[in-house]
Amino acid sequence: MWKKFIILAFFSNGFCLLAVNALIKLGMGNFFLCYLLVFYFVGFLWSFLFCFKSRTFPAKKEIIIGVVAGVSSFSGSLFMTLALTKIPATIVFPIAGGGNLITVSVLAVLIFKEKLGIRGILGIISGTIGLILISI
Amino acid sequence: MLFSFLALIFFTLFGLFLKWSSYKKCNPIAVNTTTLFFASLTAIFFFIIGSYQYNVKVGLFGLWGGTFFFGAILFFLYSLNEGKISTCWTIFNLGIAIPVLFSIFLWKEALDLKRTSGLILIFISIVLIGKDVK
Repeated sequence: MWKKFIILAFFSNGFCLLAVNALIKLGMGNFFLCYLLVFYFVGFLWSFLFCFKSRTFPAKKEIIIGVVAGVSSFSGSLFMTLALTKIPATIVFPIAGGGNLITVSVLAVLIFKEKLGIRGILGIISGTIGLILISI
Repeated sequence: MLFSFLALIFFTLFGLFLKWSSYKKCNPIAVNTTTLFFASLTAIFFFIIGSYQYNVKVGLFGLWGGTFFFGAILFFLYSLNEGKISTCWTIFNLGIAIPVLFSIFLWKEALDLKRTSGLILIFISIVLIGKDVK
């Protein structure tokens, strides 16, 4: 079942990134803060609607995780944009884009004691190289 | 260079905390809502102290991106209930292949050797991770 969900996440994230791509292609990259504001707020409204419909109320642990994950998500996007204004994309994407696949995988093994098969390891390596190649 | 490393740290934290939520058996809908709520608050803060520039077209792109981002995070959280963060995070981030494919077919961008190799490696990566049953 998780494979179905991750494929759906892959396509949703892809279509989400398509919006950023279109924004830059149309020369509106300088409105990035406005974009992020609407982007997160719309996402929140959809999620709030789901919460309300399913009568779900966040507990303390979910609020704490939400604070860290929310601030991290915004800060990551902001610093990546700032980095792109200072140094070439050929340096930014391998570090921020490709690097985070490696750090998350290594930390997952260390913190959550995840075990990966040879195919999984090769898949992560090939994905990281592929992501860097199409980003730079 | 500092900004690149800060982006790396924050994106890593984001991925790990989403995994932490499934580790702690949190409700994906509640985590998604609180994550997007606090990200919105941070965005409002930076928008006010920052440029304060707005544009209706940009807002429409935000509407489009935000709708898909909501779905992406929710599906990602559901996949983490059974899947591993290392493999799920890799596939999630490989979504970057979609705008690249659209650039090639919609904006008629040139498909050079670098991009072709990248797309092939992404395809191989998804197949390999999908077959990693351990």
